[in-house]
Amino acid sequence: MILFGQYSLVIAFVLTLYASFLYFRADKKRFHSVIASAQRATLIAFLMIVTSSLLLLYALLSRNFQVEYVAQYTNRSLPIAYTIAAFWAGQAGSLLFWALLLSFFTWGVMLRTPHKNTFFFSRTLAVLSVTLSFFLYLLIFKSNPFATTPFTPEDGIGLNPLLQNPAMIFHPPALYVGFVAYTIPFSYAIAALLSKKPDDYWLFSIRRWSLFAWLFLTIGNILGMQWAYVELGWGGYWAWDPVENASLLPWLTGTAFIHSVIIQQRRGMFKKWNFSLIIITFALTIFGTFITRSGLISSVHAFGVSNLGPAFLLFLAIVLIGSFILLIRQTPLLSSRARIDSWTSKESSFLLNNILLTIFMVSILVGTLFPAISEAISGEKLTVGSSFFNALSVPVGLTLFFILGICVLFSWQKTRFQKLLSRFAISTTTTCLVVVLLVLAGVREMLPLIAFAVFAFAMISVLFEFSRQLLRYKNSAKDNGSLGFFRFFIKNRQRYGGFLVHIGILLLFLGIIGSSAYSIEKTVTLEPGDSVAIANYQIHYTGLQHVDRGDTHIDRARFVLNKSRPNTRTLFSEKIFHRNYQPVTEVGIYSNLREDVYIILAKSDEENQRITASILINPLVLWMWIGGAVMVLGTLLAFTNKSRAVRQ
Amino acid sequence: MFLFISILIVLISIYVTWPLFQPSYGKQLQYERMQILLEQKEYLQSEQKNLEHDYTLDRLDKASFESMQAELQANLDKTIQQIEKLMGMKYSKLEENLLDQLRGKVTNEVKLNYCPQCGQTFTRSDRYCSQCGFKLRD
Repeated sequence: MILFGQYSLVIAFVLTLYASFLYFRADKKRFHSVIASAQRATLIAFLMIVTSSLLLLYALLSRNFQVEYVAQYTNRSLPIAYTIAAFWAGQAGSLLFWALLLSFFTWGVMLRTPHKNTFFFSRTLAVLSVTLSFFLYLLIFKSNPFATTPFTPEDGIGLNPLLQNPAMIFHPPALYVGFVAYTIPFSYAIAALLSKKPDDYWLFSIRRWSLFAWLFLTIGNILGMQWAYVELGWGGYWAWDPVENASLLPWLTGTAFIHSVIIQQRRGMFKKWNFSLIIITFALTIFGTFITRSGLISSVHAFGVSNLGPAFLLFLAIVLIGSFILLIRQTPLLSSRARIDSWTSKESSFLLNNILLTIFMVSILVGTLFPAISEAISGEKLTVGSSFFNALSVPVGLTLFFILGICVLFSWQKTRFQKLLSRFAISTTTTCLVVVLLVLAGVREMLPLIAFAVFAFAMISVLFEFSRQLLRYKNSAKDNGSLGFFRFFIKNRQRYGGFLVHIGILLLFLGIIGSSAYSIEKTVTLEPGDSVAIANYQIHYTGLQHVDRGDTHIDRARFVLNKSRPNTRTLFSEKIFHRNYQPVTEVGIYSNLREDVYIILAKSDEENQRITASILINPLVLWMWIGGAVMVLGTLLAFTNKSRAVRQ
Repeated sequence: MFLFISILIVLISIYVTWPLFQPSYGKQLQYERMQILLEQKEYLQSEQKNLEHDYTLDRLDKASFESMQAELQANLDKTIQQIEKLMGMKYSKLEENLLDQLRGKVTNEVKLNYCPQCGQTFTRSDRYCSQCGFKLRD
């Protein structure tokens, strides 16, 4: 059975290579028969990868410790949900999961494309098949999930306790789906360049794919933030860890791409830029995979040193050099239909948004790679701390959110001064009012005040523009009852989904301002019966409980919040000691719209039940998760609006 | 296991290579070009509608609306000219069913009006291809 899993991968690899060759070689004379053969190869390769994945899953669930991967990532006491999640917990499994997703998407592209019999389509599948071949090559020659151990151990090592969190079931797959899905817009772009049709044609097919990829990257990143917040026990949600950065980088360029594509569709501008963005976004997804697997950068997420680094680096170099050579060769065909007429236009604000997102991406990339760069130059590994990334992200982030506010108020091509004045008047006046109220409420520090002002300005602008459009619709349409509004909203859900996404990211921004500017931390040593006062809370420590669960030993501290008041809450904060791993913490959190009470059990003494705990008050954190949910909802709305090509 | 895998490989090889031994339809260039042009035409028309929608909602002023509409219209005219040149007839005279076929709405009962030998378009009354002389029907 294990052998068949291995052979399935080899058969899939051979078939994918064969399909790649045929998709590239399909010429005028025997187009149909060649493409039909290649498509059959793609289908069988997909089935072979599915078989291989099911066999690995079966090996995991049946605890077949003869398979090295199973012995390394599971043990007999691991719950079923985490046993399934172990599929993508390790290097080989995650590569197989990547190949599975890519072959599934390739099959999806093959089935869903309305015009299959075109050179453009065959080149798209060629690029997808080459990428799939690369991952299958890694699985067969570099990181085999079906490798066996010389002897079968009684029990496995088990899944790292840090990974034993419900987020493990959703966070990595969401990120993988996002990463892998970006292969499709990239393939369409390269196919457009290869078939010398680099005009707007390739954009018809990729709108939904790029939204789909962006949606999953967003979900993955937000789940990752939440996971770090509840599991790592340092009180934050983003540590600028290299692997966190690796998933943020394609999200930034993917965001820029979603915006700049609109300009190409409407005005025929940014054509070369859009090709460059999607090439870079795809390269960044490969880069993210490379830094987690090469051992180049130290990270809590990394898979450790492996032999995959050179292969990824080579593939990355081929992707970048090959794609940009193709782009440069097609440059004469990529002239803009129009130019930016005024700086007070949607086009200019989109351009500024793209420039800032790219600068942000490049700076984070340099910061992430700085240890490797410094080691190569001076022989010494120097790291840049989170202070570098924070110093960078504050001005860029504030400007980006300010542009978001401006952009919705600008008209296409040019905004007349009179209109500009009337539209800005409401946002600016309300923002000034908000600032005055904040000052009166005691907010005196300059940076948080500016951040709140930017948030208020952008949020009011978005809401103002949304209500202005609805009013306009009410005045112009016959169907203006409450159902009429609903129909109008649903009919234009691509546009209003976008509005929701902007509201969502602004709520996320609000959470970031509150939690980073006004977080309070107190570290205390407590004995049962002791209380500590922090912010408006009275926290009472009632005692320590010891729980033994096979391989793990848990120290669980019990706290009661606001003991004397009616709204009493009980919180538990745990320290979990595992036989094979470092101890991990499970923080106790009480969350409301105003703030989070966050308790980390730092030290515990079993004998006298004395503990040392860090207690944090993190304001507005819940708004981040609400904002994330609104972003996802908005993207889903925009996504369900079928593109023209599919509708056809 | 080896016997099973060997049989599987043989079966897969036959299944995958089978179409290579079947007669092929021939050239695709003209067909593909037409599909792209039709896509482009419909895309430009939908963009015109979006622009009108934006104008209704006051997202651009009259002068901008007119100039952008003119940009789109010029592109649309150019695309229609290319379609007419490729088809050798006025766009308005193209048969609706032929357009449906070009858009991909081809059912099994209705064959494509393209020569399987060279890709040249033909009408239902043609017996032989005007370009390569291929026999289209008895």
